[in-house]
Amino acid sequence: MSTLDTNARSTINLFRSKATVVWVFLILATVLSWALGTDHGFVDDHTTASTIIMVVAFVKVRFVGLYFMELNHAPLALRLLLEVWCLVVCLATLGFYFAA
Amino acid sequence: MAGLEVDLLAPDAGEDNPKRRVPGEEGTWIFIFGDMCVFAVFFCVFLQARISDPSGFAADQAQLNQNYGALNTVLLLLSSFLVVLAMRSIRSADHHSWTPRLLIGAWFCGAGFLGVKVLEYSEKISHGITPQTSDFYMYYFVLTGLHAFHLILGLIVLTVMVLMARKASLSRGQFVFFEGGACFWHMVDLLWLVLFPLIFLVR
Repeated sequence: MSTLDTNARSTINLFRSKATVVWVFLILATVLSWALGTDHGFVDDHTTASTIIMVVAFVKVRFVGLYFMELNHAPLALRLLLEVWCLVVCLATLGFYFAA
Repeated sequence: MAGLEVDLLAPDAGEDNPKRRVPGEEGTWIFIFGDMCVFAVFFCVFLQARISDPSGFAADQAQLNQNYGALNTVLLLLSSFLVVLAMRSIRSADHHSWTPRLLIGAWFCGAGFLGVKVLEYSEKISHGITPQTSDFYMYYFVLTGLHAFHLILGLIVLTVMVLMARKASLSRGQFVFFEGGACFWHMVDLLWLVLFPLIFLVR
Protein backbone atom coordinates (compact mmCIF):
# COMPACT_ATOMS: atom_id res chain seq x y z
CA MET A 1 0.00 0.00 0.00
CA SER A 2 1.39 3.44 -0.89
CA THR A 3 2.02 6.12 1.72
CA LEU A 4 -0.74 8.17 0.08
CA ASP A 5 -3.25 5.36 0.59
CA THR A 6 -2.17 4.94 4.20
CA ASN A 7 -2.56 8.67 4.87
CA ALA A 8 -5.99 8.74 3.23
CA ARG A 9 -7.13 5.74 5.27
CA SER A 10 -5.71 7.31 8.41
CA THR A 11 -7.63 10.55 7.71
CA ILE A 12 -10.86 8.64 7.09
CA ASN A 13 -10.42 6.86 10.42
CA LEU A 14 -10.32 10.19 12.24
CA PHE A 15 -13.73 11.10 10.81
CA ARG A 16 -15.25 7.63 11.21
CA SER A 17 -17.44 8.07 14.28
CA LYS A 18 -21.04 8.72 15.27
CA ALA A 19 -19.99 12.33 16.02
CA THR A 20 -19.52 12.96 12.27
CA VAL A 21 -23.04 11.72 11.50
CA VAL A 22 -24.37 13.84 14.38
CA TRP A 23 -22.56 16.91 13.05
CA VAL A 24 -24.21 16.50 9.61
CA PHE A 25 -27.58 16.16 11.36
CA LEU A 26 -26.90 19.33 13.43
CA ILE A 27 -26.11 21.34 10.29
CA LEU A 28 -29.23 20.07 8.48
CA ALA A 29 -31.36 20.80 11.58
CA THR A 30 -29.93 24.34 11.69
CA VAL A 31 -30.88 24.91 8.04
CA LEU A 32 -34.39 23.57 8.78
CA SER A 33 -34.81 25.91 11.78
CA TRP A 34 -33.48 28.89 9.81
CA ALA A 35 -35.91 28.11 6.92
CA LEU A 36 -38.86 27.77 9.32
CA GLY A 37 -37.95 30.96 11.19
CA THR A 38 -37.49 33.11 8.09
CA ASP A 39 -40.62 32.09 6.14
CA HIS A 40 -38.57 29.98 3.73
CA GLY A 41 -40.11 26.88 5.24
CA PHE A 42 -43.07 24.73 4.39
CA VAL A 43 -45.04 25.68 7.52
CA ASP A 44 -47.10 28.87 7.24
CA ASP A 45 -48.35 28.96 10.82
CA HIS A 46 -45.86 30.80 13.07
CA THR A 47 -46.90 28.91 16.20
CA THR A 48 -46.34 25.50 14.60
CA ALA A 49 -43.04 26.63 13.05
CA SER A 50 -41.84 28.06 16.39
CA THR A 51 -42.82 24.88 18.27
CA ILE A 52 -40.85 22.75 15.78
CA ILE A 53 -37.87 25.16 16.02
CA MET A 54 -37.81 24.93 19.85
CA VAL A 55 -38.13 21.14 19.97
CA VAL A 56 -35.42 20.77 17.28
CA ALA A 57 -33.15 23.08 19.35
CA PHE A 58 -33.34 20.83 22.42
CA VAL A 59 -32.86 17.68 20.31
CA LYS A 60 -29.68 19.34 18.98
CA VAL A 61 -28.55 20.16 22.53
CA ARG A 62 -29.08 16.53 23.54
CA PHE A 63 -26.96 15.29 20.63
CA VAL A 64 -24.15 17.76 21.42
CA GLY A 65 -24.20 16.52 25.03
CA LEU A 66 -24.27 12.83 24.15
CA TYR A 67 -21.85 12.69 21.21
CA PHE A 68 -19.63 15.81 21.45
CA MET A 69 -19.32 15.98 25.26
CA GLU A 70 -19.23 12.15 25.29
CA LEU A 71 -21.94 11.90 27.94
CA ASN A 72 -23.17 8.74 26.20
CA HIS A 73 -20.10 7.11 27.78
CA ALA A 74 -20.55 8.91 31.13
CA PRO A 75 -21.99 7.43 34.34
CA LEU A 76 -25.78 7.27 34.22
CA ALA A 77 -26.24 10.10 36.75
CA LEU A 78 -24.31 12.57 34.58
CA ARG A 79 -26.12 11.47 31.44
CA LEU A 80 -29.46 11.79 33.24
CA LEU A 81 -28.60 15.38 34.22
CA LEU A 82 -28.35 16.22 30.51
CA GLU A 83 -31.53 14.32 29.61
CA VAL A 84 -33.49 15.97 32.46
CA TRP A 85 -32.10 19.44 31.59
CA CYS A 86 -33.19 19.04 27.95
CA LEU A 87 -36.66 17.77 28.86
CA VAL A 88 -37.40 20.25 31.67
CA VAL A 89 -36.02 23.34 29.89
CA CYS A 90 -37.76 22.37 26.63
CA LEU A 91 -41.12 21.97 28.43
CA ALA A 92 -40.58 25.19 30.43
CA THR A 93 -39.74 27.29 27.37
CA LEU A 94 -42.68 25.81 25.44
CA GLY A 95 -44.92 26.58 28.44
CA PHE A 96 -43.81 30.23 28.58
CA TYR A 97 -44.10 30.48 24.78
CA PHE A 98 -47.69 29.23 24.74
CA ALA A 99 -48.60 31.46 27.72
CA ALA A 100 -48.05 34.54 25.50
CA MET B 1 1.13 9.43 24.07
CA ALA B 2 3.57 7.86 26.47
CA GLY B 3 2.31 10.12 29.25
CA LEU B 4 -1.29 8.97 28.97
CA GLU B 5 -2.58 6.17 31.10
CA VAL B 6 -4.46 3.41 29.34
CA ASP B 7 -7.81 4.05 31.06
CA LEU B 8 -7.88 7.58 29.69
CA LEU B 9 -8.12 6.12 26.21
CA ALA B 10 -11.26 4.18 26.99
CA PRO B 11 -13.79 6.37 25.07
CA ASP B 12 -11.78 6.01 21.87
CA ALA B 13 -11.40 2.27 22.17
CA GLY B 14 -14.67 1.79 20.32
CA GLU B 15 -18.12 3.31 19.91
CA ASP B 16 -19.67 0.41 21.77
CA ASN B 17 -17.20 0.41 24.64
CA PRO B 18 -19.38 -0.13 27.70
CA LYS B 19 -16.90 1.43 30.15
CA ARG B 20 -18.45 4.53 31.69
CA ARG B 21 -16.33 7.46 32.85
CA VAL B 22 -16.67 11.18 33.55
CA PRO B 23 -15.06 13.30 30.80
CA GLY B 24 -12.81 15.88 32.48
CA GLU B 25 -12.88 16.80 36.17
CA GLU B 26 -16.08 16.23 38.13
CA GLY B 27 -15.87 19.88 39.25
CA THR B 28 -15.99 20.97 35.62
CA TRP B 29 -19.43 19.38 35.33
CA ILE B 30 -20.72 21.25 38.38
CA PHE B 31 -19.64 24.44 36.62
CA ILE B 32 -21.05 23.38 33.23
CA PHE B 33 -24.45 22.27 34.53
CA GLY B 34 -24.56 25.26 36.90
CA ASP B 35 -24.03 27.58 33.95
CA MET B 36 -26.60 25.69 31.89
CA CYS B 37 -29.15 26.10 34.70
CA VAL B 38 -28.43 29.84 34.96
CA PHE B 39 -29.00 30.19 31.20
CA ALA B 40 -32.16 28.05 31.46
CA VAL B 41 -33.51 30.64 33.92
CA PHE B 42 -32.55 33.41 31.47
CA PHE B 43 -34.41 31.63 28.64
CA CYS B 44 -37.53 31.50 30.82
CA VAL B 45 -37.17 35.11 32.02
CA PHE B 46 -36.90 36.24 28.37
CA LEU B 47 -40.01 34.29 27.35
CA GLN B 48 -41.88 35.49 30.45
CA ALA B 49 -41.12 39.10 29.49
CA ARG B 50 -42.44 38.30 25.99
CA ILE B 51 -45.84 37.33 27.48
CA SER B 52 -46.65 40.97 28.32
CA ASP B 53 -45.80 42.27 24.82
CA PRO B 54 -45.60 39.53 22.16
CA SER B 55 -46.26 41.92 19.24
CA GLY B 56 -43.57 44.37 20.45
CA PHE B 57 -41.08 41.52 20.79
CA ALA B 58 -42.00 40.26 17.28
CA ALA B 59 -41.58 43.75 15.77
CA ASP B 60 -38.13 44.17 17.36
CA GLN B 61 -37.12 40.63 16.39
CA ALA B 62 -38.04 41.37 12.75
CA GLN B 63 -35.22 43.95 12.73
CA LEU B 64 -32.62 41.28 13.55
CA ASN B 65 -30.58 39.68 10.79
CA GLN B 66 -31.40 35.96 11.09
CA ASN B 67 -28.66 35.17 8.56
CA TYR B 68 -25.99 36.42 11.01
CA GLY B 69 -27.45 34.17 13.71
CA ALA B 70 -27.55 31.15 11.37
CA LEU B 71 -23.99 31.81 10.14
CA ASN B 72 -22.82 31.99 13.76
CA THR B 73 -24.58 28.69 14.52
CA VAL B 74 -22.75 27.00 11.63
CA LEU B 75 -19.43 28.53 12.79
CA LEU B 76 -19.91 27.22 16.35
CA LEU B 77 -21.02 23.77 15.13
CA LEU B 78 -17.97 23.57 12.88
CA SER B 79 -15.80 24.73 15.76
CA SER B 80 -17.27 22.11 18.10
CA PHE B 81 -16.76 19.39 15.50
CA LEU B 82 -13.10 20.38 15.13
CA VAL B 83 -12.75 20.06 18.92
CA VAL B 84 -14.34 16.57 18.72
CA LEU B 85 -11.76 15.65 16.05
CA ALA B 86 -9.03 17.16 18.25
CA MET B 87 -10.14 14.89 21.13
CA ARG B 88 -10.05 11.88 18.80
CA SER B 89 -6.67 12.86 17.39
CA ILE B 90 -5.00 13.41 20.78
CA ARG B 91 -6.00 9.87 21.79
CA SER B 92 -4.62 8.43 18.57
CA ALA B 93 -0.96 7.69 17.98
CA ASP B 94 -1.46 8.25 14.22
CA HIS B 95 -3.10 11.68 14.49
CA HIS B 96 -1.55 13.14 17.61
CA SER B 97 0.27 15.80 15.56
CA TRP B 98 -3.03 17.02 14.06
CA THR B 99 -4.44 18.15 17.41
CA PRO B 100 -2.95 21.69 17.53
CA ARG B 101 -4.08 22.41 13.94
CA LEU B 102 -7.62 21.18 14.61
CA LEU B 103 -7.81 23.33 17.75
CA ILE B 104 -6.47 26.37 15.91
CA GLY B 105 -9.23 25.79 13.30
CA ALA B 106 -11.78 25.66 16.14
CA TRP B 107 -10.30 28.85 17.64
CA PHE B 108 -10.67 30.74 14.35
CA CYS B 109 -14.30 29.60 13.97
CA GLY B 110 -14.94 30.95 17.48
CA ALA B 111 -13.16 34.20 16.62
CA GLY B 112 -15.28 34.35 13.43
CA PHE B 113 -18.39 34.12 15.64
CA LEU B 114 -17.17 37.10 17.65
CA GLY B 115 -16.44 39.02 14.43
CA VAL B 116 -20.00 38.45 13.18
CA LYS B 117 -21.32 39.47 16.62
CA VAL B 118 -19.32 42.72 16.54
CA LEU B 119 -20.70 43.41 13.03
CA GLU B 120 -24.23 42.68 14.28
CA TYR B 121 -23.89 44.94 17.36
CA SER B 122 -22.32 47.76 15.35
CA GLU B 123 -25.17 47.63 12.80
CA LYS B 124 -27.72 47.88 15.60
CA ILE B 125 -25.91 50.69 17.39
CA SER B 126 -25.46 52.63 14.12
CA HIS B 127 -29.26 52.49 13.73
CA GLY B 128 -29.66 53.91 17.22
CA ILE B 129 -30.66 50.54 18.74
CA THR B 130 -29.25 50.00 22.24
CA PRO B 131 -30.24 47.98 25.34
CA GLN B 132 -32.39 50.99 26.36
CA THR B 133 -34.45 50.83 23.14
CA SER B 134 -36.92 48.21 24.40
CA ASP B 135 -37.28 45.18 26.68
CA PHE B 136 -36.54 42.90 23.73
CA TYR B 137 -33.29 44.65 22.94
CA MET B 138 -32.29 44.74 26.61
CA TYR B 139 -32.59 40.93 26.69
CA TYR B 140 -30.98 40.63 23.24
CA PHE B 141 -27.85 42.54 24.29
CA VAL B 142 -27.62 41.02 27.79
CA LEU B 143 -28.15 37.38 26.73
CA THR B 144 -25.99 37.46 23.59
CA GLY B 145 -23.38 39.55 25.48
CA LEU B 146 -23.23 37.00 28.33
CA HIS B 147 -22.88 34.23 25.77
CA ALA B 148 -20.10 36.16 23.98
CA PHE B 149 -18.33 36.51 27.37
CA HIS B 150 -18.43 32.72 27.75
CA LEU B 151 -17.12 32.38 24.21
CA ILE B 152 -14.15 34.64 25.01
CA LEU B 153 -13.41 32.46 28.08
CA GLY B 154 -13.67 29.45 25.76
CA LEU B 155 -11.16 30.98 23.34
CA ILE B 156 -8.71 31.41 26.25
CA VAL B 157 -9.25 27.74 27.21
CA LEU B 158 -8.72 26.67 23.56
CA THR B 159 -5.46 28.67 23.47
CA VAL B 160 -4.20 26.79 26.55
CA MET B 161 -5.29 23.51 24.91
CA VAL B 162 -3.31 24.36 21.73
CA LEU B 163 -0.19 24.98 23.83
CA MET B 164 -0.72 21.69 25.70
CA ALA B 165 -1.39 19.74 22.48
CA ARG B 166 2.00 20.76 21.08
CA LYS B 167 3.71 18.65 23.74
CA ALA B 168 4.72 15.12 22.78
CA SER B 169 2.74 13.68 25.67
CA LEU B 170 0.30 14.83 28.34
CA SER B 171 0.19 13.95 31.99
CA ARG B 172 -3.06 12.54 33.37
CA GLY B 173 -3.92 15.92 34.93
CA GLN B 174 -3.25 17.74 31.67
CA PHE B 175 -5.40 15.28 29.74
CA VAL B 176 -8.26 15.71 32.20
CA PHE B 177 -7.98 19.51 31.79
CA PHE B 178 -7.96 18.99 28.02
CA GLU B 179 -11.19 16.97 28.16
CA GLY B 180 -12.84 19.48 30.49
CA GLY B 181 -11.82 22.35 28.21
CA ALA B 182 -13.35 20.56 25.22
CA CYS B 183 -16.61 20.07 27.16
CA PHE B 184 -16.65 23.76 28.16
CA TRP B 185 -16.32 24.70 24.48
CA HIS B 186 -19.21 22.36 23.60
CA MET B 187 -21.28 24.07 26.32
CA VAL B 188 -20.69 27.45 24.62
CA ASP B 189 -21.98 25.86 21.39
CA LEU B 190 -24.90 24.18 23.17
CA LEU B 191 -26.13 27.41 24.80
CA TRP B 192 -26.08 29.17 21.43
CA LEU B 193 -28.14 26.31 19.94
CA VAL B 194 -31.00 27.47 22.22
CA LEU B 195 -30.29 31.23 22.26
CA PHE B 196 -30.32 31.54 18.46
CA PRO B 197 -33.81 30.09 17.93
CA LEU B 198 -35.27 31.80 21.03
CA ILE B 199 -34.04 35.29 20.19
CA PHE B 200 -33.88 35.20 16.39
CA LEU B 201 -36.48 32.72 15.17
CA VAL B 202 -39.32 31.97 17.59
CA ARG B 203 -42.32 34.22 16.92
